Amino acid sequence: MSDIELKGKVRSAVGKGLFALRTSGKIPAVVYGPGLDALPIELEAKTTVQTLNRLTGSTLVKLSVDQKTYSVLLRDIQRDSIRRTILHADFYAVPTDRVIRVRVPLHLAGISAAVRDFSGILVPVLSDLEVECLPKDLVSGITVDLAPLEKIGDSITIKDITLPPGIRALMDADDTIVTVTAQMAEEEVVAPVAAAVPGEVEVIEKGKKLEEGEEEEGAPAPAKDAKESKEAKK
Amino acid sequence: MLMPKRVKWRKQMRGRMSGHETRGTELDFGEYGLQALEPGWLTQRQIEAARRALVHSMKRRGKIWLRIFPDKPITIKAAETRMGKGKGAVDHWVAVVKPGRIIFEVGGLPEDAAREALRLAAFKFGLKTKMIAKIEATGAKE
Repeated sequence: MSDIELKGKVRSAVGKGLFALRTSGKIPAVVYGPGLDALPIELEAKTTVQTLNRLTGSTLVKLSVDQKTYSVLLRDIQRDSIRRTILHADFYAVPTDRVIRVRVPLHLAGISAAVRDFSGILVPVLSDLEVECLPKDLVSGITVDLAPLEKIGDSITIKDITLPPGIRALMDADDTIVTVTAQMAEEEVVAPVAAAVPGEVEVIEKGKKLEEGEEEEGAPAPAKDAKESKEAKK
Repeated sequence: MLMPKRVKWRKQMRGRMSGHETRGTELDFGEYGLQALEPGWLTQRQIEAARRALVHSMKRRGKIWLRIFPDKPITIKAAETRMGKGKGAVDHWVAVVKPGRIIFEVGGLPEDAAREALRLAAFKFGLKTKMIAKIEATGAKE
């Protein structure tokens, strides 16, 4: 288990009571897991925000709640969409004897020769890897060495990386983690077209319109007949 | 410039922009993004100008993701026309943006370059924006 520790208290405020809780400097959270009923807790915002911000979903945390200690993983964080402050956190109490599925973040390390010598662009495709392992084998991140990327077009797939012992990747072995592409071509500056032509937009025909159209087609016919009869009279 | 290929209805009502955005508020593709802090309409011209500013500033490095699309038609009545006689013709297209919406995402370039590129792009919009960076993703499963 990692050295990261969090302290919480059992929370009684739920629903609309959370607004007052947040303004008093607390973060509402919940702990759940196999054989454990969902337990609402509160964390001290001042001391936990920095820890929560650097936690990954695969870092085991020691969470103490009123004399009880749980080994948990951070499963979800809800944030205010504008202020980015933490509104709520979900912790998953991991079973020690059971295999769990976790998304482990991938960290790119080293320098690629294709980027250094050929000015290629490094395009990370996967940011994390879904793995299966026992909680004791869990790692907080997997490092991917970029040295094998020697020329433009080279890529590193899941089968190319060595996973820590006890960890099995659940994704397709041929999935690309990172690739190197050529720099995009210089964009040609085209003279602006005189405004967009909105008339070109196609409007999806409606059944009702078609019926109306048929009626309209039928309508002029009698008028034409009348004209013809007038001409005949003349 | 960006505009829809097909639409169900040629003209729309103006609508309201109350509240904040609930979708498209997180960075999903890149490492840095430009987030709207005010509600407003972003025209297809503004979006294209901002995209060009980004491309020019990024100097063929990195990648850009555009997270909005101008799908709302704006009509204008012809000059010197008397009132009435129906709604005017479609003049341009806008994207409706509410506070919290990620407008652009960029990735694959250093933070200072991304910050500068997004700063230049933000000048093309007539609303307040801020730059945001990705925080560690979480994702434990059973």
